[in-house]
Amino acid sequence: MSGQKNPCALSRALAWILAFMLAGTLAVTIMSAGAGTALSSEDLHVRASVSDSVVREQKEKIDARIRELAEEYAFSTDAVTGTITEETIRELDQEYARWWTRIVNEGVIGDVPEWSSAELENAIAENMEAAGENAAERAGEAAGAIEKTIHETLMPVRKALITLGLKFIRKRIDLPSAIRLLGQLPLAGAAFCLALAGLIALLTARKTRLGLKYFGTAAAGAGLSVIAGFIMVSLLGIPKMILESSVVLGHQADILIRPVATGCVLFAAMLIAGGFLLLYLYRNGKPKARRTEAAA
Amino acid sequence: MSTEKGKKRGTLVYLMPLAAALPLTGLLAWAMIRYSPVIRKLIGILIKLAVTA
Repeated sequence: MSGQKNPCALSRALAWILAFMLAGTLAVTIMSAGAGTALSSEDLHVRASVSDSVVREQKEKIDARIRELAEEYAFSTDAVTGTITEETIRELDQEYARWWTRIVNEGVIGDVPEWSSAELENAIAENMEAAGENAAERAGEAAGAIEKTIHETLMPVRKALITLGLKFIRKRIDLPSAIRLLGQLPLAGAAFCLALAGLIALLTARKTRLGLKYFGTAAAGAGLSVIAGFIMVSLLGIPKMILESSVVLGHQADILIRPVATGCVLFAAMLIAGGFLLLYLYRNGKPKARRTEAAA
Repeated sequence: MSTEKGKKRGTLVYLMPLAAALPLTGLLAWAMIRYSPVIRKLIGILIKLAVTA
């Protein structure tokens, strides 16, 4: 005899319910933490913005626009394209990434990053083939059009839409405190998971080995839910839709989402492995009574 | 006899994670099947509206 009673049927049923709840809460917490990181991590946003391939694509797009305008306004392109270097684009990209993460993290619409087109205007004016009376005016027009392209390429999401949306939300809720609250949701989820795990431990306190069954089920179940969730969301084909709308934004989103998704899926895989290990230990570990008998 | 039964029950424990994953996955799958075209259309409109041409 072990001297320890099995938990009653009600305790076991409650422990199962709690284990299922733990699996769901843990999965939702992991997915929301991943989504939160993808949306607000300054480090990730800066890295996605200044990636070599993205900057190269942006430069090509800007150069193509300059070539179009060169035909229209009759100026030579070489000197003009030289004024907008990859370094200039990278710096502006960083400013835009910081502007965006400040909105998402603090709810503050800071000054939209600006870039002075004076140097560009001079370069166009100097390289105009037919310098007439209105050459300066035409150079200004061309510089304005290039500046617009630069801003649209570097920040393919409409700034007016973001500002309008934020103003609309700010009228209804206190945005900075709502953002702070949202940022704490994964922590709250983790705390709730711990509370559920504690309750399961309480219900199975007399039989520690029995607890392995519930914890293993919850951990592996959460991992499986996360992976199933990722598969289903990826079936929606959102990155492809973004890519069709804007190649640059599509690549930025890809660079941004990939490490977050990989991290979440790896964590889910660890949960599955850990969960099944606990179940194996539960299944193959000998109860205390049998261990004592074997020792005797 | 009882050992056979115990073994079967013991093996069934490995299926419990699937059962635990079922509520959330089932809900997601149902939402995807039921609302996938609507979600896709909505996201498509949002992207078109948000992204500069």
